Amino acid sequence: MKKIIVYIMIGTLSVLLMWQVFGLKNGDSAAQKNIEALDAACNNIIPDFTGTVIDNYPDNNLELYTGERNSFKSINEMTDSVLFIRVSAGGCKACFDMLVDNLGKIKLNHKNLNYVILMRDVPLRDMMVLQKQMSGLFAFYRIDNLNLDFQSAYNPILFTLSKNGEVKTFHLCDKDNWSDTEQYFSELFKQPV
Amino acid sequence: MKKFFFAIALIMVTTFSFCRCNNIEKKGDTHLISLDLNKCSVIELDKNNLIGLETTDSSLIYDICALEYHDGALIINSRDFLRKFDGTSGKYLGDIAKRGEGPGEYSFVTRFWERNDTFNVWDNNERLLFHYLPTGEFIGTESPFHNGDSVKSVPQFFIEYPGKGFFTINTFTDGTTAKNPRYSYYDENMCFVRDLPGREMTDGSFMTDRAYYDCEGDRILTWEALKDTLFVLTPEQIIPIYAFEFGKYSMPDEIQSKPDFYDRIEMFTDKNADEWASFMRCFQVKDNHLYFSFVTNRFENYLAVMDMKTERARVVKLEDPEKRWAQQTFFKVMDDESILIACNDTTDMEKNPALYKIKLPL
Repeated sequence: MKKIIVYIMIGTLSVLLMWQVFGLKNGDSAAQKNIEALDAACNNIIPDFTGTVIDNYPDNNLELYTGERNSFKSINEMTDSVLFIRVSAGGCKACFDMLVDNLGKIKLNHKNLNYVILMRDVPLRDMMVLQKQMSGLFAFYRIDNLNLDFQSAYNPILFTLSKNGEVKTFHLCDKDNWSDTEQYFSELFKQPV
Repeated sequence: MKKFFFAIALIMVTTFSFCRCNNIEKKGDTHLISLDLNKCSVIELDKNNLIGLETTDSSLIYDICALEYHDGALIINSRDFLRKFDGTSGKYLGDIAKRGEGPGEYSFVTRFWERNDTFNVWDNNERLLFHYLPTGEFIGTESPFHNGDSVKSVPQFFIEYPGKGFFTINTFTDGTTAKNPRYSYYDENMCFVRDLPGREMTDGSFMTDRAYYDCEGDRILTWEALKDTLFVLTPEQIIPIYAFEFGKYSMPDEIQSKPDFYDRIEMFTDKNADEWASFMRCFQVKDNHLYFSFVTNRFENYLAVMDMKTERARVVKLEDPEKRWAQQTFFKVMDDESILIACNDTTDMEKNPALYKIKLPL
């Protein structure tokens, strides 16, 4: 009897000590890793948005800083020869900087191409400074919500639209996979934008 | 038999007590500091004390991220700009250095500071430390490096620990690495020593001010966005020293403990949320007083000052009777016993920020 009680006590103490020392976290962290792996995998899968109609949310026009404060516009008013860049002010700055440098070079050979940056989460004054810094190359519009946001807030998205407002081409920019972006540009310029 | 049971019970009680004592000791190391928003001291803004930073197309800046005063001039780091303004009139005097790909040109500033008449810029894209003379003349670059083979922490933010080395705050790896330590320690030769255990990067958010060298205490202070705790970094560990609470205006613990900043900011800025104060930043120390700024979710900026001997803290607010100038997050405690507080002109969005100068103590 004594032995049984001793074994039970020792067992209980061991479990308690293990719990205090290791916090029994191994199971948790394994589950967490699985979730992270699943998230990472899901994030790499981007659905095909081609043909989806894109528009501003109702009652939510694009806001442009023009120097005379704000003017408003619908996205469907500017689908001709426009490459749209959807970017978040809190997103990947290095990707955006790389994109801006490359788009500047591309513009030299494609004079009719217009760039429209649709920025989200950006203070109006920031947009004003950006617009003045990059005037002549980009038109900056501020819009936090589009009906289609390509499931990415971190990486810039490039897209073109048909005259009906449908997504013709799109691409997610990642500075670490820049060859994909170069491939997108080479495909894009085979056909009129 | 009784003795036996008594012995076992004693062992169990001792074990529990030991574990509980450990927890209490850990909590006890962090001092709880109370801040009372209802007892806020108001400083009335006097326009004569404003230094307006000149606004031209070439001198435009965003918000102020860092500021150094050198030889009568204010050197302002605003995102990728390093601009020089006259310290009295605010006249634009040119740029110290620029973004670009040429010699001496950086690509992405995530920290700017002066030490021993040298301006230092940490370029997060190139992972290089740029050095300039106060004239803007480029001196050279340095690069921290790893001599270990298993270290993968990539520096994003860089802070010097004079005479002892450097700390880095690392890049978020988004789950692609098994571990993502927030802080690493490098020796004086910029050689990696170790990652500091205890705090991980849990999101890709970025703040321009994240750490400060307290020369009075010879220690590095660091903080995280929307987590009302101040930490000290040592070459071996991260120590939480102060936890701040605002009474009924405290942001609930369950929000502060959310690992992802974007979840925290979404809940903080929720229009239906109660009024909360949080987002402590710009911690600085002068004459044994700790200064910092914070904001409410009604977007009102405040300053706080804590006497580090008594650990009593006061809340201070700069208010313009004309409601034209609005206090911003950034401020800088200067060597001449004054403080510069960033202010925005609410009537003219295109204007660069101004700096309001007040003598210490507040």
